[in-house]
Amino acid sequence: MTDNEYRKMYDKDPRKAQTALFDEYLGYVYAIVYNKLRSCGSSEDIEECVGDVFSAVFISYDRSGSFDGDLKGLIGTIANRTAIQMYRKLVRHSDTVYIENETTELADTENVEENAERSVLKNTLLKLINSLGQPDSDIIIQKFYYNMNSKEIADKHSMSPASVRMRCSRALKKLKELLANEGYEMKEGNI
Amino acid sequence: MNDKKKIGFDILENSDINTIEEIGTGKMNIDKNARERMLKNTMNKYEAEKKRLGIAQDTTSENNENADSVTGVEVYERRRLPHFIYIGLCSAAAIALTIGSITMLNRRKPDAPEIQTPVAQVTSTAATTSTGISTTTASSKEAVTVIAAATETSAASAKDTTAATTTAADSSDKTGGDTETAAGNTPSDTTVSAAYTNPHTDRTDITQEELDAAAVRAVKQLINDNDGFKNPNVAQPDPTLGVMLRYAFYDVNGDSVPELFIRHNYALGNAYMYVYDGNDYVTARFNGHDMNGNETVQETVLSVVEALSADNTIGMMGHQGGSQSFILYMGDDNTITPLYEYTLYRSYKDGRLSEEYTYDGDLGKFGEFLDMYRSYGERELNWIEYDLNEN
Repeated sequence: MTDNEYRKMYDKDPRKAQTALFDEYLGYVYAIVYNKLRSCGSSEDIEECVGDVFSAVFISYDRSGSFDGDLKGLIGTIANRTAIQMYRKLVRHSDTVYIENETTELADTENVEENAERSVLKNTLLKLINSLGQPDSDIIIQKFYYNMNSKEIADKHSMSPASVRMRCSRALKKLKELLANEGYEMKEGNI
Repeated sequence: MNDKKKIGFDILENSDINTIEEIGTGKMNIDKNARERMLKNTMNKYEAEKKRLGIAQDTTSENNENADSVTGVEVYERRRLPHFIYIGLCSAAAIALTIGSITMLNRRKPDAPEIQTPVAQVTSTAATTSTGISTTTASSKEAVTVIAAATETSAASAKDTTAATTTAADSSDKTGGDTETAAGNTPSDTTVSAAYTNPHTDRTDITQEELDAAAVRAVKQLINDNDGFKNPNVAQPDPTLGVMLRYAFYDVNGDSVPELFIRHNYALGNAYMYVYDGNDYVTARFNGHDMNGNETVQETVLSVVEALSADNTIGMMGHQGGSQSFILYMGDDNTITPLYEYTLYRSYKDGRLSEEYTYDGDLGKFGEFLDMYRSYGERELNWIEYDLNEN
Protein backbone atom coordinates (compact mmCIF):
# COMPACT_ATOMS: atom_id res chain seq x y z
CA MET A 1 0.00 0.00 0.00
CA THR A 2 1.35 3.40 -0.94
CA ASP A 3 0.70 6.82 0.52
CA ASN A 4 -1.67 7.64 -2.37
CA GLU A 5 -3.56 4.38 -2.14
CA TYR A 6 -4.10 4.92 1.56
CA ARG A 7 -5.27 8.48 1.00
CA LYS A 8 -7.83 7.43 -1.62
CA MET A 9 -9.11 4.64 0.56
CA TYR A 10 -9.17 6.91 3.62
CA ASP A 11 -11.20 9.56 1.79
CA LYS A 12 -13.87 6.98 1.04
CA ASP A 13 -13.81 5.08 4.30
CA PRO A 14 -11.29 5.90 7.04
CA ARG A 15 -11.89 2.80 9.13
CA LYS A 16 -11.55 0.50 6.13
CA ALA A 17 -8.28 2.22 5.16
CA GLN A 18 -6.92 1.87 8.69
CA THR A 19 -7.86 -1.80 8.86
CA ALA A 20 -6.25 -2.46 5.48
CA LEU A 21 -3.06 -0.71 6.57
CA PHE A 22 -3.10 -2.62 9.85
CA ASP A 23 -3.42 -5.96 8.06
CA GLU A 24 -0.73 -5.15 5.54
CA TYR A 25 1.87 -4.01 8.06
CA LEU A 26 0.93 -6.10 11.11
CA GLY A 27 3.67 -8.67 10.46
CA TYR A 28 6.25 -5.98 9.82
CA VAL A 29 5.42 -4.00 12.96
CA TYR A 30 5.13 -7.13 15.07
CA ALA A 31 8.56 -8.32 13.89
CA ILE A 32 10.18 -5.00 14.79
CA VAL A 33 8.53 -4.84 18.20
CA TYR A 34 9.28 -8.50 18.90
CA ASN A 35 12.91 -7.95 18.04
CA LYS A 36 13.20 -5.25 20.70
CA LEU A 37 11.05 -6.79 23.43
CA ARG A 38 11.80 -10.50 22.95
CA SER A 39 13.78 -10.83 26.14
CA CYS A 40 12.08 -8.39 28.47
CA GLY A 41 8.42 -8.32 27.43
CA SER A 42 5.52 -10.75 27.50
CA SER A 43 3.32 -11.36 24.46
CA GLU A 44 0.82 -8.95 26.05
CA ASP A 45 3.51 -6.26 26.20
CA ILE A 46 4.31 -6.87 22.53
CA GLU A 47 0.65 -6.66 21.53
CA GLU A 48 0.26 -3.48 23.59
CA CYS A 49 3.22 -1.94 21.84
CA VAL A 50 1.89 -2.95 18.40
CA GLY A 51 -1.32 -1.11 19.29
CA ASP A 52 0.69 1.97 20.27
CA VAL A 53 2.52 1.89 16.95
CA PHE A 54 -0.56 1.72 14.73
CA SER A 55 -2.35 4.30 16.83
CA ALA A 56 0.62 6.65 16.37
CA VAL A 57 0.65 5.96 12.61
CA PHE A 58 -3.06 6.76 12.26
CA ILE A 59 -2.72 9.91 14.35
CA SER A 60 0.27 10.95 12.27
CA TYR A 61 -1.86 10.75 9.13
CA ASP A 62 -4.81 12.55 10.72
CA ARG A 63 -2.60 15.44 11.75
CA SER A 64 -0.66 15.94 8.53
CA GLY A 65 -3.01 14.46 5.92
CA SER A 66 -0.23 12.41 4.34
CA PHE A 67 2.61 10.05 5.12
CA ASP A 68 5.15 12.12 3.18
CA GLY A 69 6.04 9.42 0.72
CA ASP A 70 7.71 6.44 2.31
CA LEU A 71 4.89 4.78 4.21
CA LYS A 72 6.84 1.66 5.10
CA GLY A 73 9.81 3.73 6.28
CA LEU A 74 7.58 5.87 8.47
CA ILE A 75 5.88 2.85 10.01
CA GLY A 76 9.26 1.20 10.59
CA THR A 77 10.63 4.30 12.31
CA ILE A 78 7.56 4.72 14.53
CA ALA A 79 7.64 1.00 15.40
CA ASN A 80 11.33 1.16 16.26
CA ARG A 81 10.98 4.22 18.48
CA THR A 82 7.85 3.01 20.21
CA ALA A 83 9.43 -0.38 20.90
CA ILE A 84 12.54 1.26 22.33
CA GLN A 85 10.34 3.38 24.58
CA MET A 86 8.47 0.30 25.74
CA TYR A 87 11.76 -1.51 26.27
CA ARG A 88 13.02 1.28 28.54
CA LYS A 89 9.75 1.31 30.44
CA LEU A 90 9.81 -2.45 30.96
CA VAL A 91 13.46 -2.54 31.96
CA ARG A 92 12.96 0.35 34.37
CA HIS A 93 9.99 -1.34 36.01
CA SER A 94 11.37 -4.84 36.14
CA ASP A 95 14.74 -4.13 37.61
CA THR A 96 16.05 -0.78 38.76
CA VAL A 97 19.78 -0.92 38.25
CA TYR A 98 21.77 1.71 40.03
CA ILE A 99 24.52 3.03 37.96
CA GLU A 100 27.16 2.73 40.65
CA ASN A 101 26.75 -1.03 40.63
CA GLU A 102 27.16 -1.33 36.92
CA THR A 103 30.20 -1.04 34.75
CA THR A 104 29.74 2.63 34.17
CA GLU A 105 33.18 3.12 32.77
CA LEU A 106 32.10 1.85 29.40
CA ALA A 107 34.55 3.60 27.15
CA ASP A 108 33.39 4.57 23.68
CA THR A 109 35.97 2.38 22.05
CA GLU A 110 34.75 -0.68 23.93
CA ASN A 111 31.20 0.13 22.93
CA VAL A 112 32.13 0.38 19.28
CA GLU A 113 34.05 -2.88 19.46
CA GLU A 114 31.18 -4.63 21.15
CA ASN A 115 28.69 -3.34 18.57
CA ALA A 116 30.96 -4.39 15.73
CA GLU A 117 31.36 -7.86 17.20
CA ARG A 118 27.62 -8.24 17.67
CA SER A 119 27.07 -7.18 14.09
CA VAL A 120 29.55 -9.79 12.82
CA LEU A 121 27.92 -12.51 14.93
CA LYS A 122 24.46 -11.57 13.66
CA ASN A 123 25.52 -11.66 10.04
CA THR A 124 27.34 -14.96 10.51
CA LEU A 125 24.39 -16.61 12.18
CA LEU A 126 21.92 -15.37 9.57
CA LYS A 127 24.21 -16.39 6.71
CA LEU A 128 24.57 -19.89 8.11
CA ILE A 129 20.84 -20.22 8.79
CA ASN A 130 20.06 -19.16 5.22
CA SER A 131 22.58 -21.68 3.92
CA LEU A 132 20.37 -24.45 5.36
CA GLY A 133 17.87 -23.73 2.58
CA GLN A 134 14.06 -23.65 2.67
CA PRO A 135 12.09 -24.64 4.64
CA ASP A 136 14.74 -25.55 7.23
CA SER A 137 15.95 -21.96 7.62
CA ASP A 138 12.38 -20.78 8.29
CA ILE A 139 11.74 -23.62 10.71
CA ILE A 140 14.89 -22.82 12.69
CA ILE A 141 13.96 -19.13 12.93
CA GLN A 142 10.39 -19.95 13.89
CA LYS A 143 11.43 -22.50 16.49
CA PHE A 144 14.32 -20.74 18.18
CA TYR A 145 13.85 -17.05 17.45
CA TYR A 146 10.06 -16.70 17.42
CA ASN A 147 9.65 -19.55 19.96
CA MET A 148 6.80 -21.17 18.04
CA ASN A 149 5.85 -24.75 18.84
CA SER A 150 5.98 -27.59 16.34
CA LYS A 151 2.24 -27.51 15.71
CA GLU A 152 2.24 -23.80 14.88
CA ILE A 153 5.20 -24.29 12.55
CA ALA A 154 3.55 -27.32 11.00
CA ASP A 155 0.39 -25.29 10.25
CA LYS A 156 2.47 -22.63 8.53
CA HIS A 157 4.27 -25.15 6.32
CA SER A 158 1.44 -27.63 5.76
CA MET A 159 3.44 -30.40 7.41
CA SER A 160 2.81 -32.70 10.32
CA PRO A 161 4.27 -31.69 13.70
CA ALA A 162 6.38 -34.85 13.66
CA SER A 163 7.97 -33.86 10.36
CA VAL A 164 8.69 -30.41 11.75
CA ARG A 165 10.42 -31.88 14.79
CA MET A 166 12.54 -34.17 12.64
CA ARG A 167 13.54 -31.43 10.20
CA CYS A 168 14.24 -29.06 13.05
CA SER A 169 16.47 -31.55 14.81
CA ARG A 170 18.48 -32.23 11.66
CA ALA A 171 18.71 -28.56 10.76
CA LEU A 172 19.92 -27.64 14.22
CA LYS A 173 22.61 -30.34 14.10
CA LYS A 174 23.73 -29.03 10.71
CA LEU A 175 23.73 -25.45 12.00
CA LYS A 176 25.93 -26.43 14.94
CA GLU A 177 28.41 -28.02 12.56
CA LEU A 178 28.48 -24.94 10.38
CA LEU A 179 29.01 -22.72 13.41
CA ALA A 180 31.80 -24.96 14.66
CA ASN A 181 33.54 -24.58 11.29
CA GLU A 182 33.39 -20.82 11.78
CA GLY A 183 34.79 -21.10 15.29
CA TYR A 184 31.57 -20.72 17.26
CA GLU A 185 29.64 -22.95 19.58
CA MET A 186 25.86 -22.94 19.89
CA LYS A 187 24.62 -22.01 23.35
CA GLU A 188 23.01 -24.91 25.14
CA GLY A 189 19.63 -24.77 26.84
CA ASN A 190 17.48 -21.82 25.88
CA ILE A 191 19.29 -20.90 22.70
CA MET B 1 39.80 -26.18 27.05
CA ASN B 2 37.05 -25.12 24.68
CA ASP B 3 37.76 -21.56 23.59
CA LYS B 4 35.00 -21.28 20.99
CA LYS B 5 32.70 -18.32 21.32
CA LYS B 6 29.15 -19.20 22.30
CA ILE B 7 26.37 -17.91 20.11
CA GLY B 8 22.62 -17.98 20.59
CA PHE B 9 19.55 -16.59 18.88
CA ASP B 10 19.44 -13.74 21.35
CA ILE B 11 22.20 -12.17 19.28
CA LEU B 12 19.50 -11.31 16.74
CA GLU B 13 17.72 -9.03 19.22
CA ASN B 14 17.81 -5.25 18.97
CA SER B 15 18.71 -5.34 15.29
CA ASP B 16 18.26 -2.65 12.69
CA ILE B 17 15.29 -2.82 10.36
CA ASN B 18 17.26 -4.38 7.48
CA THR B 19 18.38 -7.25 9.69
CA ILE B 20 14.85 -7.70 11.01
CA GLU B 21 13.64 -7.98 7.43
CA GLU B 22 16.38 -10.51 6.76
CA ILE B 23 15.25 -12.57 9.76
CA GLY B 24 11.77 -12.49 8.27
CA THR B 25 8.76 -10.35 9.09
CA GLY B 26 6.11 -12.84 8.01
CA LYS B 27 7.36 -15.92 9.74
CA MET B 28 5.79 -15.49 13.16
CA ASN B 29 2.44 -16.87 14.16
CA ILE B 30 -0.24 -14.23 14.61
CA ASP B 31 -3.55 -16.05 14.83
CA LYS B 32 -6.95 -14.54 14.13
CA ASN B 33 -7.70 -13.92 17.78
CA ALA B 34 -4.40 -12.10 18.35
CA ARG B 35 -5.00 -10.00 15.25
CA GLU B 36 -8.51 -9.07 16.46
CA ARG B 37 -7.18 -8.21 19.91
CA MET B 38 -4.45 -5.98 18.54
CA LEU B 39 -6.79 -4.25 16.09
CA LYS B 40 -9.30 -3.54 18.83
CA ASN B 41 -6.55 -2.33 21.14
CA THR B 42 -5.17 -0.11 18.37
CA MET B 43 -8.54 1.47 17.72
CA ASN B 44 -9.15 2.09 21.41
CA LYS B 45 -5.79 3.79 21.76
CA TYR B 46 -6.35 5.74 18.55
CA GLU B 47 -9.75 7.04 19.64
CA ALA B 48 -8.41 8.00 23.07
CA GLU B 49 -5.44 9.80 21.57
CA LYS B 50 -7.64 11.54 19.02
CA LYS B 51 -9.91 12.76 21.77
CA ARG B 52 -6.94 13.98 23.76
CA LEU B 53 -5.54 15.89 20.78
CA GLY B 54 -8.93 17.25 19.81
CA ILE B 55 -8.94 15.74 16.31
CA ALA B 56 -12.55 16.05 15.30
CA GLN B 57 -13.04 13.52 12.57
CA ASP B 58 -14.90 10.48 13.83
CA THR B 59 -13.98 7.35 11.96
CA THR B 60 -15.96 5.01 14.12
CA SER B 61 -19.38 6.35 13.50
CA GLU B 62 -19.08 6.24 9.73
CA ASN B 63 -18.57 2.54 9.54
CA ASN B 64 -20.03 1.22 12.68
CA GLU B 65 -21.82 -1.96 11.66
CA ASN B 66 -24.32 -1.46 14.43
CA ALA B 67 -25.24 2.03 13.39
CA ASP B 68 -28.54 2.68 11.62
CA SER B 69 -28.16 2.61 7.89
CA VAL B 70 -29.40 5.55 5.87
CA THR B 71 -30.81 5.17 2.41
CA GLY B 72 -31.95 7.61 -0.21
CA VAL B 73 -29.39 10.25 0.64
CA GLU B 74 -29.04 12.93 -1.95
CA VAL B 75 -25.83 12.97 -3.86
CA TYR B 76 -24.16 16.34 -3.99
CA GLU B 77 -21.70 16.95 -6.73
CA ARG B 78 -19.40 19.92 -6.40
CA ARG B 79 -19.24 21.78 -9.67
CA ARG B 80 -15.74 22.60 -10.58
CA LEU B 81 -14.82 25.89 -12.16
CA PRO B 82 -13.46 25.47 -15.66
CA HIS B 83 -9.70 25.78 -15.54
CA PHE B 84 -9.41 28.87 -17.76
CA ILE B 85 -11.97 30.80 -15.65
CA TYR B 86 -10.06 29.89 -12.53
CA ILE B 87 -6.77 31.10 -14.03
CA GLY B 88 -8.44 34.31 -15.22
CA LEU B 89 -9.89 35.10 -11.81
CA CYS B 90 -6.59 34.46 -10.10
CA SER B 91 -4.75 36.71 -12.54
CA ALA B 92 -7.28 39.50 -12.09
CA ALA B 93 -7.00 39.25 -8.32
CA ALA B 94 -3.20 39.37 -8.48
CA ILE B 95 -3.24 42.45 -10.75
CA ALA B 96 -5.77 44.24 -8.52
CA LEU B 97 -3.70 43.46 -5.46
CA THR B 98 -0.51 44.78 -7.07
CA ILE B 99 -2.14 48.01 -8.29
CA GLY B 100 -3.78 48.54 -4.91
CA SER B 101 -0.52 48.05 -3.05
CA ILE B 102 1.36 50.49 -5.30
CA THR B 103 -1.39 53.11 -4.89
CA MET B 104 -1.40 52.73 -1.13
CA LEU B 105 2.36 53.04 -0.92
CA ASN B 106 2.37 56.19 -3.06
CA ARG B 107 -0.29 57.86 -0.91
CA ARG B 108 1.28 56.91 2.38
CA LYS B 109 2.89 59.74 4.30
CA PRO B 110 5.62 58.92 6.72
CA ASP B 111 4.24 59.76 10.18
CA ALA B 112 7.32 58.88 12.17
CA PRO B 113 11.02 59.12 11.59
CA GLU B 114 12.32 55.90 10.21
CA ILE B 115 14.87 54.05 12.21
CA GLN B 116 17.83 52.92 10.27
CA THR B 117 17.98 49.24 9.75
CA PRO B 118 20.46 47.76 12.17
CA VAL B 119 23.55 46.49 10.47
CA ALA B 120 24.33 42.99 11.47
CA GLN B 121 26.36 40.41 9.69
CA VAL B 122 27.31 37.05 10.98
CA THR B 123 29.87 35.17 9.02
CA SER B 124 31.80 33.02 11.39
CA THR B 125 30.76 29.74 12.91
CA ALA B 126 34.05 28.94 14.50
CA ALA B 127 35.11 32.22 15.99
CA THR B 128 33.42 34.06 18.81
CA THR B 129 32.79 37.78 18.64
CA SER B 130 31.22 40.11 21.10
CA THR B 131 30.64 43.85 20.99
CA GLY B 132 28.42 46.35 22.73
CA ILE B 133 25.90 45.01 25.16
CA SER B 134 25.77 41.53 23.83
CA THR B 135 26.95 38.37 25.40
CA THR B 136 28.55 35.48 23.65
CA THR B 137 28.37 31.84 24.38
CA ALA B 138 30.35 29.19 22.57
CA SER B 139 30.97 25.52 22.97
CA SER B 140 32.74 22.87 20.98
CA LYS B 141 29.51 21.97 19.24
CA GLU B 142 27.97 25.34 18.61
CA ALA B 143 29.27 28.75 17.91
CA VAL B 144 27.06 31.63 18.84
CA THR B 145 27.95 35.06 17.62
CA VAL B 146 26.25 38.19 18.72
CA ILE B 147 26.89 41.54 17.13
CA ALA B 148 25.28 44.70 18.28
CA ALA B 149 25.11 47.92 16.32
CA ALA B 150 23.89 51.18 17.75
CA THR B 151 21.98 53.69 15.66
CA GLU B 152 20.43 57.03 16.46
CA THR B 153 17.08 58.35 15.40
CA SER B 154 16.21 61.90 14.51
CA ALA B 155 12.95 61.98 16.43
CA ALA B 156 12.78 64.20 19.45
CA SER B 157 11.42 61.49 21.63
CA ALA B 158 13.67 58.85 20.29
CA LYS B 159 16.07 57.18 22.60
CA ASP B 160 19.28 55.48 21.73
CA THR B 161 18.30 52.23 20.29
CA THR B 162 20.51 49.28 20.28
CA ALA B 163 19.79 46.41 18.06
CA ALA B 164 21.13 43.01 18.55
CA THR B 165 21.12 40.23 16.10
CA THR B 166 21.75 36.76 17.17
CA THR B 167 22.55 33.91 14.90
CA ALA B 168 22.97 30.42 16.16
CA ALA B 169 25.02 28.18 13.96
CA ASP B 170 25.02 24.49 14.57
CA SER B 171 27.86 22.05 14.26
CA SER B 172 27.12 21.43 10.60
CA ASP B 173 28.29 24.95 9.82
CA LYS B 174 24.81 26.07 8.99
CA THR B 175 24.86 29.78 8.39
CA GLY B 176 22.03 32.17 7.99
CA GLY B 177 19.87 30.34 10.49
CA ASP B 178 17.11 31.87 12.50
CA THR B 179 17.81 35.54 12.99
CA GLU B 180 16.01 37.71 15.45
CA THR B 181 16.27 41.36 16.32
CA ALA B 182 15.40 42.82 19.66
CA ALA B 183 15.61 46.41 20.82
CA GLY B 184 17.83 47.21 23.73
CA ASN B 185 16.27 49.81 25.99
CA THR B 186 12.89 49.57 24.37
CA PRO B 187 12.18 45.90 24.00
CA SER B 188 10.20 45.01 20.92
CA ASP B 189 6.66 43.91 21.47
CA THR B 190 6.37 42.31 18.09
CA THR B 191 9.46 40.17 17.91
CA VAL B 192 9.06 36.54 18.83
CA SER B 193 12.12 34.59 19.73
CA ALA B 194 12.99 31.88 17.27
CA ALA B 195 13.63 28.50 18.76
CA TYR B 196 17.27 27.81 19.46
CA THR B 197 18.46 24.76 17.54
CA ASN B 198 19.75 22.30 20.08
CA PRO B 199 21.59 19.17 19.02
CA HIS B 200 19.42 16.09 18.71
CA THR B 201 19.77 12.63 17.29
CA ASP B 202 17.68 10.49 15.00
CA ARG B 203 19.45 7.35 16.11
CA THR B 204 17.05 4.58 17.00
CA ASP B 205 19.62 2.11 18.31
CA ILE B 206 20.49 3.96 21.49
CA THR B 207 20.78 1.62 24.43
CA GLN B 208 20.13 2.45 28.07
CA GLU B 209 23.72 1.48 28.86
CA GLU B 210 24.91 4.10 26.40
CA LEU B 211 22.71 6.75 28.01
CA ASP B 212 23.86 5.73 31.48
CA ALA B 213 27.50 6.03 30.47
CA ALA B 214 26.85 9.44 28.84
CA ALA B 215 25.02 10.64 31.96
CA VAL B 216 27.93 9.69 34.19
CA ARG B 217 30.36 11.44 31.86
CA ALA B 218 28.23 14.59 32.04
CA VAL B 219 28.03 14.41 35.83
CA LYS B 220 31.77 13.93 36.14
CA GLN B 221 32.46 16.82 33.80
CA LEU B 222 30.14 19.03 35.81
CA ILE B 223 31.90 18.13 39.04
CA ASN B 224 35.31 18.75 37.48
CA ASP B 225 34.15 22.17 36.28
CA ASN B 226 32.88 23.16 39.73
CA ASP B 227 35.40 22.90 42.53
CA GLY B 228 32.83 23.78 45.14
CA PHE B 229 30.69 20.75 44.34
CA LYS B 230 32.73 18.52 46.59
CA ASN B 231 33.69 21.08 49.20
CA PRO B 232 31.07 21.36 51.93
CA ASN B 233 32.65 24.53 53.34
CA VAL B 234 32.38 26.37 50.06
CA ALA B 235 29.15 24.87 48.87
CA GLN B 236 27.16 25.21 52.09
CA PRO B 237 25.25 21.99 51.81
CA ASP B 238 22.03 21.43 53.63
CA PRO B 239 23.40 19.92 56.85
CA THR B 240 20.48 17.53 57.13
CA LEU B 241 21.20 15.97 53.79
CA GLY B 242 24.97 16.14 53.47
CA VAL B 243 26.64 16.66 50.12
CA MET B 244 24.52 15.04 47.50
CA LEU B 245 24.29 15.06 43.73
CA ARG B 246 21.50 13.35 41.87
CA TYR B 247 20.54 12.83 38.29
CA ALA B 248 17.47 11.55 36.46
CA PHE B 249 16.40 10.68 32.94
CA TYR B 250 13.14 11.98 31.61
CA ASP B 251 11.93 12.22 28.04
CA VAL B 252 10.44 15.73 28.07
CA ASN B 253 9.56 15.94 24.38
CA GLY B 254 8.56 12.31 23.78
CA ASP B 255 11.18 11.70 21.08
CA SER B 256 12.18 8.45 22.85
CA VAL B 257 15.56 9.91 23.83
CA PRO B 258 15.44 10.98 27.48
CA GLU B 259 16.82 14.30 28.63
CA LEU B 260 19.16 14.37 31.61
CA PHE B 261 18.40 16.38 34.76
CA ILE B 262 21.10 16.99 37.33
CA ARG B 263 20.68 18.72 40.68
CA HIS B 264 22.44 18.88 43.99
CA ASN B 265 21.62 20.20 47.41
CA TYR B 266 24.10 23.05 47.65
CA ALA B 267 22.46 26.16 49.01
CA LEU B 268 23.69 28.38 46.18
CA GLY B 269 24.14 25.76 43.48
CA ASN B 270 22.38 25.30 40.17
CA ALA B 271 20.34 22.61 38.53
CA TYR B 272 20.92 21.50 34.93
CA MET B 273 19.14 19.94 32.00
CA TYR B 274 21.02 18.31 29.14
CA VAL B 275 19.96 16.94 25.77
CA TYR B 276 21.52 13.89 24.09
CA ASP B 277 23.29 14.61 20.80
CA GLY B 278 23.83 10.99 19.83
CA ASN B 279 27.09 10.63 21.74
CA ASP B 280 26.99 12.87 24.78
CA TYR B 281 24.66 14.82 26.99
CA VAL B 282 25.16 18.51 26.29
CA THR B 283 23.71 21.65 27.83
CA ALA B 284 20.47 22.74 26.21
CA ARG B 285 19.96 26.36 25.16
CA PHE B 286 17.14 28.62 24.10
CA ASN B 287 16.52 32.19 23.04
CA GLY B 288 15.21 34.21 25.96
CA HIS B 289 15.55 37.69 27.45
CA ASP B 290 17.93 38.99 30.06
CA MET B 291 16.98 41.44 32.79
CA ASN B 292 17.72 44.42 30.52
CA GLY B 293 15.21 43.17 28.00
CA ASN B 294 17.79 42.04 25.50
CA GLU B 295 17.32 38.83 23.65
CA THR B 296 20.10 36.43 24.58
CA VAL B 297 20.89 32.80 24.35
CA GLN B 298 20.12 31.22 27.71
CA GLU B 299 21.22 27.85 29.02
CA THR B 300 19.02 25.42 30.89
CA VAL B 301 20.99 26.06 34.04
CA LEU B 302 19.37 27.83 36.97
CA SER B 303 18.66 27.36 40.64
CA VAL B 304 15.77 25.09 39.76
CA VAL B 305 15.44 23.24 36.46
CA GLU B 306 12.68 20.67 36.42
CA ALA B 307 10.31 18.76 34.18
CA LEU B 308 6.79 20.05 34.66
CA SER B 309 3.69 17.91 34.69
CA ALA B 310 2.27 19.36 31.45
CA ASP B 311 3.56 17.64 28.31
CA ASN B 312 6.78 18.99 26.80
CA THR B 313 7.25 21.63 29.48
CA ILE B 314 10.24 22.55 31.60
CA GLY B 315 10.37 25.02 34.48
CA MET B 316 13.36 27.12 35.51
CA MET B 317 13.40 29.22 38.66
CA GLY B 318 16.10 31.70 39.67
CA HIS B 319 17.59 32.43 43.05
CA GLN B 320 16.36 35.10 45.45
CA GLY B 321 12.68 35.05 44.69
CA GLY B 322 13.08 34.36 41.03
CA SER B 323 15.11 37.22 39.62
CA GLN B 324 14.70 35.39 36.35
CA SER B 325 12.39 32.44 35.80
CA PHE B 326 10.95 30.55 32.84
CA ILE B 327 8.31 28.10 31.73
CA LEU B 328 9.63 26.51 28.55
CA TYR B 329 8.28 24.33 25.76
CA MET B 330 10.48 21.66 24.24
CA GLY B 331 9.77 20.53 20.67
CA ASP B 332 10.32 17.09 19.18
CA ASP B 333 13.66 18.16 17.71
CA ASN B 334 14.93 19.49 21.05
CA THR B 335 14.19 23.11 20.19
CA ILE B 336 13.20 25.06 23.28
CA THR B 337 10.95 28.10 23.25
CA PRO B 338 9.86 30.14 26.27
CA LEU B 339 6.14 30.11 27.01
CA TYR B 340 6.50 32.51 29.93
CA GLU B 341 9.50 34.50 31.12
CA TYR B 342 9.73 36.53 34.29
CA THR B 343 12.48 39.02 35.07
CA LEU B 344 12.67 41.73 37.71
CA TYR B 345 11.50 44.41 35.28
CA ARG B 346 9.61 42.68 32.49
CA SER B 347 7.59 39.59 31.75
CA TYR B 348 7.11 37.87 28.42
CA LYS B 349 4.57 35.50 26.99
CA ASP B 350 5.40 33.35 23.94
CA GLY B 351 8.55 35.42 23.41
CA ARG B 352 6.68 38.75 23.32
CA LEU B 353 6.89 41.46 25.93
CA SER B 354 3.68 41.26 27.92
CA GLU B 355 4.36 43.64 30.78
CA GLU B 356 6.95 46.13 31.93
CA TYR B 357 7.06 47.24 35.57
CA THR B 358 9.20 48.76 38.25
CA TYR B 359 10.66 46.32 40.71
CA ASP B 360 9.33 47.34 44.10
CA GLY B 361 10.78 44.53 46.16
CA ASP B 362 7.48 43.08 47.30
CA LEU B 363 7.62 40.41 44.62
CA GLY B 364 4.04 41.11 43.62
CA LYS B 365 4.70 40.40 39.96
CA PHE B 366 6.78 37.38 40.80
CA GLY B 367 3.92 36.13 42.95
CA GLU B 368 1.66 36.15 39.90
CA PHE B 369 4.27 34.25 37.91
CA LEU B 370 4.80 31.81 40.75
CA ASP B 371 1.09 30.99 40.94
CA MET B 372 1.10 30.12 37.26
CA TYR B 373 4.35 28.17 37.61
CA ARG B 374 2.90 26.15 40.47
CA SER B 375 -0.22 25.40 38.45
CA TYR B 376 2.01 23.38 36.08
CA GLY B 377 3.40 21.32 38.96
CA GLU B 378 6.69 19.48 39.12
CA ARG B 379 6.87 16.05 37.56
CA GLU B 380 8.18 13.29 39.77
CA LEU B 381 11.39 11.79 38.39
CA ASN B 382 13.31 8.70 39.37
CA TRP B 383 16.46 10.21 40.80
CA ILE B 384 19.72 8.33 40.98
CA GLU B 385 22.21 9.39 43.64
CA TYR B 386 25.78 9.92 42.58
CA ASP B 387 28.60 9.33 45.02
CA LEU B 388 30.78 12.46 44.89
CA ASN B 389 33.72 10.56 46.33
CA GLU B 390 33.87 8.48 43.14
CA ASN B 391 34.98 11.38 41.03
